[in-house]
Amino acid sequence: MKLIVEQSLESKEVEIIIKCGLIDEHLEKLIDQIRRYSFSINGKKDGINYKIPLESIFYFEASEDKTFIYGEKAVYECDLKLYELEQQLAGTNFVRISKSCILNIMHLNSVRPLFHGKFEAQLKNQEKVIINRHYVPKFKEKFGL
Amino acid sequence: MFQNLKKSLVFRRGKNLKNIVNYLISNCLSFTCVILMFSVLETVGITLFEINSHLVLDVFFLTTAVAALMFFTDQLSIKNHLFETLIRIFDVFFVVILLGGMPDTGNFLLMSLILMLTYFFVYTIMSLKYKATANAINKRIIAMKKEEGNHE
Repeated sequence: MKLIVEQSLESKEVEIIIKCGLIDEHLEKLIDQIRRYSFSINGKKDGINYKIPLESIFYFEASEDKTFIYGEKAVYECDLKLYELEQQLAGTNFVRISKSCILNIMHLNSVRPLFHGKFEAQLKNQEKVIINRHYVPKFKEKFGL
Repeated sequence: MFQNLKKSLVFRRGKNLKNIVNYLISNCLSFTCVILMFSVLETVGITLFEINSHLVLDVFFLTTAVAALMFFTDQLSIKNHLFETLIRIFDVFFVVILLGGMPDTGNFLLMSLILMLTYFFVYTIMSLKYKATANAINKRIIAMKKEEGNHE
């Protein structure tokens, strides 16, 4: 497989072209991943709608029948339910870590064990979220453990 | 207080079978610990129960029952660590008294000591296991960051 990256200041948008004979299982996964990663989620803040790129989302949290998108500094409200997001984000860097939270592992700084099999994840913006023991196996899988 | 308690006692859905491994490890650890303590006590002349194949099987049955009950009570998503610890200790005493019967005061104190030592022994070993898991994840995070840095 050849990988060609053309970097130019004239390009205003990232364009990915895949040239292939036949789409096999691996390629299908790669295409799926690219498709999902270029995907953005609609978020609302102070009555204004924003398109938030997935890679800038730290985590999603459900609270009192509402879903919130947490970025590095800002918090947005999201129309999708947590289970819908979980389905849409399957196979990406997002993983369910508790009943109310889906985390982007790309924004993780470190983890530390808590009591009774729970873990605490510290994010790049120093925020901390709890990984419930029931979700620890899935979380470990994301790191190939 | 009871309202908070009620809120925290929300039954979880989607149990993960991979978590059962931790209960099996806890079971093996507690079984080993109890048998070792009975053996040490007998060596120093304190015989709570005569160690024979029946006792070994009984202890295994009890530790398995405790692990099974803990599996079910762990489905309650309790956020308070102290309350969670108390529930787990309750699980231990509940099973032992229900299946083993209530001993007299002297034996009850000794039995309580054995159970508490076993509980904290298992807790310590499992904590070391979780610490090792966290270290392994942290190593992967560092590797991911390095990879990310190389790409940038």
